[in-house]
Amino acid sequence: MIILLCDCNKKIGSKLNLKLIKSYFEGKGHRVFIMNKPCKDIEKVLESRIDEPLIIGGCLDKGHKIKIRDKMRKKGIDSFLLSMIPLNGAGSEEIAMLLLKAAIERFKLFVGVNKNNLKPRFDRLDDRGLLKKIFMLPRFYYDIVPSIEKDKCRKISPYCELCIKKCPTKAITIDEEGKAVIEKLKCTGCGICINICPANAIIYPYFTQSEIFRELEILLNDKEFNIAERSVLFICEDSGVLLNDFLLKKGSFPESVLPVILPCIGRLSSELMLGSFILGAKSIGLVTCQKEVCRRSVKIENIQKQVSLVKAVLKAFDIEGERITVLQVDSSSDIEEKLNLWINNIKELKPINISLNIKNLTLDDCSLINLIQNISNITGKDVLLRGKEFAMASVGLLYLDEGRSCTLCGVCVSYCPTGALSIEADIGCRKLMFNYKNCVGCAKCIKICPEKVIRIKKIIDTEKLREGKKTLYSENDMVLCLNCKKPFINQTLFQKIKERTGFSTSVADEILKICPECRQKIMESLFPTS
Amino acid sequence: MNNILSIGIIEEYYNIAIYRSSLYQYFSLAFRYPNNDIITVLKKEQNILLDGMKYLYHLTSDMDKTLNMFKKTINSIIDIQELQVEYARLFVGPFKLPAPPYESVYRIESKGFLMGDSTLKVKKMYQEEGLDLPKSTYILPDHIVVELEFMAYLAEEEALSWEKMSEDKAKYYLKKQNTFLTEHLTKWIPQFAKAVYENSNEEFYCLLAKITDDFIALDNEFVKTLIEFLD
Repeated sequence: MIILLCDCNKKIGSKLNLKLIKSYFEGKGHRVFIMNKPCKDIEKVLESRIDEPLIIGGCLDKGHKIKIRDKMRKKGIDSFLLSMIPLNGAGSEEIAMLLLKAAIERFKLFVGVNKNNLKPRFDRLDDRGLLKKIFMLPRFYYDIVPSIEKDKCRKISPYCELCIKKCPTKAITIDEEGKAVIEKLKCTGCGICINICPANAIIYPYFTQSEIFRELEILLNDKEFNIAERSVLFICEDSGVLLNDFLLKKGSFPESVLPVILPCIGRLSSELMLGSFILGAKSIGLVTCQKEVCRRSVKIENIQKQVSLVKAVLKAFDIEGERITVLQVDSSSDIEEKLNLWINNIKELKPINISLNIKNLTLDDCSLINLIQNISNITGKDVLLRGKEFAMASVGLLYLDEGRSCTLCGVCVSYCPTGALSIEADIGCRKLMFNYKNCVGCAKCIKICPEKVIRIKKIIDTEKLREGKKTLYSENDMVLCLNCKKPFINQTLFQKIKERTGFSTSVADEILKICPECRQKIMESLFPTS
Repeated sequence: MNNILSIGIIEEYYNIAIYRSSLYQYFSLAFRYPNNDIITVLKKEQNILLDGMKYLYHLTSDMDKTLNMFKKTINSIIDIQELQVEYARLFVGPFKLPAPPYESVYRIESKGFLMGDSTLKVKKMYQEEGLDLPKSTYILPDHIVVELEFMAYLAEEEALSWEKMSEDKAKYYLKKQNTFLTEHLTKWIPQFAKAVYENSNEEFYCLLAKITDDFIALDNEFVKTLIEFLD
């Protein structure tokens, strides 16, 4: 990888020993340059055609990033190989090295951008802010949007539709084959749909969940550098400029605050927030813009909801909810005030102890429900989480209405997008099984159940979780075929059919107690085909 | 809008339109019967292709490689006769064509015949612009060369309108291009490119087909976004 250390006007060089950082990363086999103005002189580096990621340790200005990206694009280089790490916020060489190391590790997971994920974008004047920038910045650039891998997408109708419901701009529709497609023109690239898809069919190759997770893992868990009581500050790319001004005045973030730049805070799921705590974060902050709905049509309200969910989980385990805060900022003086408040708040807090013994936590284990179970295992405390915070969470505990009877027809199983419901059949016994861990609470089964017997509770119950897969309903009595003596239908369904037909018992036994295979044989013998 | 600002922005729109127009022109030329003159022009103007594509679109590393390979292939053309034979085999005849360069062949509505509905629709669009094919040529209106050249014409007219600062007229031409792209080019170029790619051993035509396919897809998206932005 190529690392450029920005030293424009000695802003960073006066604080940090850049040569030390340079020699450290050169020792690891990277090409490192200290440049006076990387944003302007980037061409020198690009001339020797690079195909490896380019990491710039510099500031938080998104305009510079767009400009460099544009230059890379015009050289025919994948411009998403660029990452800018805010070294102007690092208080010491160790922190700077940690930030760069985390970015390098994240880039190792980057697979490159597909043409389906690229969307041209023309910026409006009011998005650009300062007048002088209008002449400096490119008038159009390319953005990344999610795309759907058709082979993986389950036939939507009538199965899933989860992504369609969640899309804030209604950009996802169904094509002729019944699979989801994203209309690029409408898509803003917020990435809300990605975490929702149970089939993992939605691809967003830039800052994937696993990439962010990897970065967090290094930032919070890396023991190479001696930094105590680490906190993470997630920063929306668009708000970065404001922080720049703050950092110019202040010099750096306080010792233990590690900045993570995301293309959009909306990409930060409650799982990742909770995951940060498990990985060892003392506290986390989210810097968002002041607008109620940002240019990616992410609603602040939705982010707040995610945060309050995480707070509720933390509280249940006796951890202060103040450890997670949203910093909504619209000017640099505003950010100073809010950041100071946050920093003072976390100063008094002690590190939390839920990060104990977590080793090799992979992203697959990082569903909300798994994380909570993990915390519960560590602390040895069982919790029952319920309330309005969890109404939107992707969890659900199914149970059957006792007043009605399930017929084990299996319709719910075929509609369940995650396979949380299944039917297991033994000889003479059929069972409807429910896997709490897999349920995302989409409530499809409830709408579809012909007997209206399924109910859902939006709760997280760690005690129930520990039980694992559970039988919702089981029928031991099976009806035997009169002809071949094999079991073919369960008792409740048989009774139901009998009721519908209105046959008397003796007739019903004769006609209905024959399995479909035998029935066909009998019919064929009665009415032979010529 | 501030006047100085709008001049700066309109200049950009002008550049975009000029680049797009020359790209269409280039592709249109490349699909003509390859004689000495045409190959010379293709060689001479190859930078238009590279710069234009990079100026307008975000190329993935695959596409970048294909473009560079195409550049190499063009520069290494010595035997034009070989190309001419391949061109005749692919696009002219007299035997069954592996990749006929006519839109109507690929459209379901015209059931694979020449001079189908789509051909007439294309012709009508030309006539709306006051254009017609010279009577002396035997080229059909839905031949790839004609269709690409029509796009080049529309883009050039758009550029001229930007130059004259008449936004409405520019938008009109932009929308025309959008219609032509969505209703015609994107509907058959992918299949055509695939046919060329699968049936030709000549690197020049394989790469050209691949790039044209990518270009049409990218440009379609680009024009759509630009129109949405201007509205």
